[in-house]
Amino acid sequence: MFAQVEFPPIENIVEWPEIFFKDTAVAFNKIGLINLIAVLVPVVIFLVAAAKYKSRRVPKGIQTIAESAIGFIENGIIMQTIGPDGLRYLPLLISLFFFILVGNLFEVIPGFHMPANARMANPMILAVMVLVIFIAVGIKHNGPLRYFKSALFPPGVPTALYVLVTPIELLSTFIVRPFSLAVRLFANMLAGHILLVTFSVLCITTFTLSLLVVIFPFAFGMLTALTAFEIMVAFLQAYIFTILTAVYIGGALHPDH
Amino acid sequence: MPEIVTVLASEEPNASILPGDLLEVLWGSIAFLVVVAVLYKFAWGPLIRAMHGRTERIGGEMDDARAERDTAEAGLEEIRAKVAESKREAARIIEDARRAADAMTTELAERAEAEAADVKRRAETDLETAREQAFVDLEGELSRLAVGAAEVVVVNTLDDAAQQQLIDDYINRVGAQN
Repeated sequence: MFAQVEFPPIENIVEWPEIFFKDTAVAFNKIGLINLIAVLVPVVIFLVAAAKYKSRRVPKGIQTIAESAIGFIENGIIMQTIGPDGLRYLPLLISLFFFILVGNLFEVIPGFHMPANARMANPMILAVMVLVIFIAVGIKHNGPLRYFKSALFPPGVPTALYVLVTPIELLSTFIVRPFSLAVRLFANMLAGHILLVTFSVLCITTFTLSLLVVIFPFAFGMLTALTAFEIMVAFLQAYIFTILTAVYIGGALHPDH
Repeated sequence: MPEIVTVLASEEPNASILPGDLLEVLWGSIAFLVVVAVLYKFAWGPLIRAMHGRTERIGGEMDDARAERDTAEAGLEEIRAKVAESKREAARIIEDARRAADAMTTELAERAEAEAADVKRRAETDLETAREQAFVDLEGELSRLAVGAAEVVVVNTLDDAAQQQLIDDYINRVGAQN
């Protein structure tokens, strides 16, 4: 006996109907709701932690979580990629990390089953924001001439090679960087989402009274393992996006290094 | 001939929040709860212990810092007290020196005044001695001149008036001696 499994069409996997302001430019759907929650969750966590910090210096509970997150971004990302100069970007990088992480975690949260970053609009906007920020940082700290000269004409390269190197640098720094940043996050989250949907459908298919039930433990085991894996991927992708942002900002701060 | 079972996934469009096929939600949620249960079983304990450990470590560090601050403040008070004591000692030494200087000034002034008075007294004594000596010398000189004059008078002839004068002087001296 063979089973022929048909998966839902892609629009059923990633498209969500509009909830508010239908058919307008500011239409609000499930992705918008997840984004809103992804903004509110870290804001609430850090506001509560800050309020507790004022009354109690020794951290407990949510304050420990907030302080650990700050320590992780500070020591694990900023000090490793930018150095002490980068501490002024701590709020930006923490916001970015938590926004992406919470948006990603909705991939496995019951009832939602959809990572906000599996829609290209999210990673694309974040990547464009990072592009604008690191160019602004470079111009602010080095002046426009020195920054673009360092970025497009790397020192130590023979003059004749600039014909080749400069277009490559232009593409890699200002086009490929944001593109790869956005696509990496989007593709990982979409792939994970499709995998989870695939094994969910396989569970539905094999959880029958027929012989197919023998496959069910494998399907459910894979679904469970992939759920755990996707939680890890949610953290990992948020971390990668944040650390690359820090690397780009560090590069813009010290373009000659 | 094997039987082919075709299972069609729901092609219902998604609702506002939930996916079109609610069974996907069911299995996805069950898998998520299994993962949460496994994490709770194996990771929750170490995570809570790590959080408590961090809390205790920071609490201990803050207690140590508080104790060090108290010690430093006590040391600061001690140093302030020593500085105040040193200032008082310095003021006392300066006052003693000032008093000693005043006493010495007074003593020197009194000694100088005494010496000046002594010098003045000696000068007066010397002056008196010299004056008396001058009188003695003058008397001697006058006696010598008187004797000389007497010799002249004796040598020359006495007239009546001179004789009368000598007699009178003699009578007066004799009267005065008696």
